[in-house]
Amino acid sequence: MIKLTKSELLEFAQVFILANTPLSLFNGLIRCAGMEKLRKNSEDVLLRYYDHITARAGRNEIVLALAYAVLCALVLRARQISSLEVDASRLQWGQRIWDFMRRSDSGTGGLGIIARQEAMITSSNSPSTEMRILGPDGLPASSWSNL
Amino acid sequence: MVRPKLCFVASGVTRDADTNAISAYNILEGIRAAGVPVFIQNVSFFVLWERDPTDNPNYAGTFTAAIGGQTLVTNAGVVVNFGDKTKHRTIVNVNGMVVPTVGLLTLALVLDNGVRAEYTIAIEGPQANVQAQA
Repeated sequence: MIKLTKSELLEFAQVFILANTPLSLFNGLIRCAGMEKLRKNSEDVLLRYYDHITARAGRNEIVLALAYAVLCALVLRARQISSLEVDASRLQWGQRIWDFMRRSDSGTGGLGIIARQEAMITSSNSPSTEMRILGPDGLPASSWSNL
Repeated sequence: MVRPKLCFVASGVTRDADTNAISAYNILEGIRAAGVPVFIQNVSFFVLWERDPTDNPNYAGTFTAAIGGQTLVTNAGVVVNFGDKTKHRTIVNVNGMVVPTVGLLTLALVLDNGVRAEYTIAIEGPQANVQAQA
């Protein structure tokens, strides 16, 4: 049996009461602290727990929130195990959560590229005239130094 | 036959790990540069692939970015693995790219079976100042 604390159950119940669409309910429940604890269990344990909760006669907001939370944990598990089947129709929004999330379970491949830009260096000869050092007589220094 | 259903380039494409949903921001429709070469800091190339259930689930691909016959970036390490699904998303993030000239920048991903997904971005130079003569 999965053990959840009172505060974790109350957090599920708060999300359940405040959610106004199936998607907002799913997004809220998967961010609750208790979800991590639920996701640590195998799909067999989650399925048994889901069957146990949804078979109960007395349904209050805490029981319903917990049932939806277990269903969300199963949806997340189903992304890895495509053959996993759950009777989500036991909950009013269950089938819509299941269908919506299963539709968006396509795989994603990513690639990061750090573009290496080659530095383009061009060189050209200076258009200036040949460098000369002129002596006091106006002749190139090389010519008078040889005198 | 595998086919690209959607292809675009944006400044960023991210996948939410919880919901597996893709979000994109600042889709690049065109770039008017103050001058060339122009540096594009983040380029995310996204393709949504679709295949028939009987198609091969694994493909290798080559990503290229080119403008005016000049290849700016190329990488042959793209893997498209559908697994047991019929859809697959590919995100290629290029962290910095210098576009040396104006023209049509083409980003493309070509699979080993020849199927191609491409997106073009018009790179324009600075707009000439036109003064109306009275």
